[in-house]
Amino acid sequence: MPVIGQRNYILPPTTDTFVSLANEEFTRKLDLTGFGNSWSKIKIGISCAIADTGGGNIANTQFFVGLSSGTAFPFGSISCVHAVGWMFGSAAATWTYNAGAGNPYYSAATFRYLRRVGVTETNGTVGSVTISVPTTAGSLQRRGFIEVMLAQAATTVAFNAYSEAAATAASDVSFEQFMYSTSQGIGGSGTPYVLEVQCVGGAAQSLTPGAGWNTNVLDTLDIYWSNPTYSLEIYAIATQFTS
Amino acid sequence: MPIIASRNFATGTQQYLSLSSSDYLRTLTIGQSWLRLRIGILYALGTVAENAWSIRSPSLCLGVSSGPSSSPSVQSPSHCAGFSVPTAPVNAAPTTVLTYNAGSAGNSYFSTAGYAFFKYTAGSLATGAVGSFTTVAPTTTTLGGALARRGMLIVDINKSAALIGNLTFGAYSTAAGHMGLDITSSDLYWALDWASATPTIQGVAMNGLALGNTLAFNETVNGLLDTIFLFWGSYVSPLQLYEIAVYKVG
Repeated sequence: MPVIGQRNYILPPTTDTFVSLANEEFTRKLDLTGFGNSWSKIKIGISCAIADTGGGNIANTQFFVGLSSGTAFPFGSISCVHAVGWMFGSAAATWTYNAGAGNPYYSAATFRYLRRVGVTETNGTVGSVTISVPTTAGSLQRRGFIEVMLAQAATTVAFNAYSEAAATAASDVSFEQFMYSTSQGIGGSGTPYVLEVQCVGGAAQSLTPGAGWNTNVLDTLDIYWSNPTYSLEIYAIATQFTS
Repeated sequence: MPIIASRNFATGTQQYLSLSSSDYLRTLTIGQSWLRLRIGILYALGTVAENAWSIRSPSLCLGVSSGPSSSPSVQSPSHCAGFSVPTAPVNAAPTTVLTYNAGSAGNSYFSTAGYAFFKYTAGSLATGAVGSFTTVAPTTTTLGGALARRGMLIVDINKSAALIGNLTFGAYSTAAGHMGLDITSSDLYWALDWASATPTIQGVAMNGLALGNTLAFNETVNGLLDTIFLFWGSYVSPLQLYEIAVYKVG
């Protein structure tokens, strides 16, 4: 079961609480009042860190960020009703431990953007984005930044994914700085900046599931972290919609 | 939600309305019965966590709308017209910025040469931007020995005829030379009341763009322009609104 903890930081909030996921999933029904299923873009920003391994890589780990249809059968369920989003890493991917200059971070270049119904998945791997997430150790306690954008149309769904650059993974992205980055390119246009360094991430990629693909409404925020030993700590989540 | 606070200046304490991704609207007692309006504000912009960073994807809009529900802050405004920086009121990319300038003696400020005069009619956006104009606004910081300062922005809107006609726009802003100065209420009223040309405030000429950008607007079809709006689109760096004044020129 996910647990709630807290850490101390130099930048405010200096005591920040987090939800810890370890082979667990966080889902939250979104308030789509006024949007219904007619949203065109949803942007999901996450402030997070990964438990430090003490120097080793993390193997075979998936980090899914996206939307599901309801909370009962989300992405991680064998009976998944409908889920769409971006998968950082994979069931066979290595998250590389980077020592940094005393402030380590994990990175993974493997990814796919996907749609899942039950255990049937359609996906793509075009483009490139290397995610960098600070560990919970180091001389400076840090929170990182990632962002996923989904755009839906009648027959297609498009994806963007951004991560803070490796250069800023040595710095703490405070809550205000996190919100500042999520506020950029409202509506999902353009690559955001974190601590005034542009994120890594590429052009939009898309899948074409065909007409009626979103009959099962994507109305629930869905975050899944598959590693049971080294947890993902989530400090803040921000979502933005445009119709 | 906008909040009210107060701040001390050399001329005394003044209250302000803090806007963060929010707007201020007020329906005019004169309704749409005007042929020329000047809308002026005294304001300052917050920095990003007191860093020397530019503000990315901002949107500052000042103008008139058909009722308070047609603000450019809504997803698809029905009918409104006005002035916006640094671009038209759309989803600006992160590379679109209000540029941070350190200034002198700690008196930092934001500036942009980007702007647009715009109108929404039935949810459709049209813009114009003929001529060069730079908007300059002080930051709210007092770090580094900075003076507590207010800047000024004025939008000048002319109707060619009542109800059905063209809207022609002009704009005036405090200049970089004002950024070591605090602009006061009397400066605002004087600037709104000037007869012609670009006003000089505290010995420094404002940046000006005279009436000249024109957009057609049919109030009979698109609704009466009877409400003024100020919209600030950043939810991290607040806009502090110290004063807003509307001057009916004609």
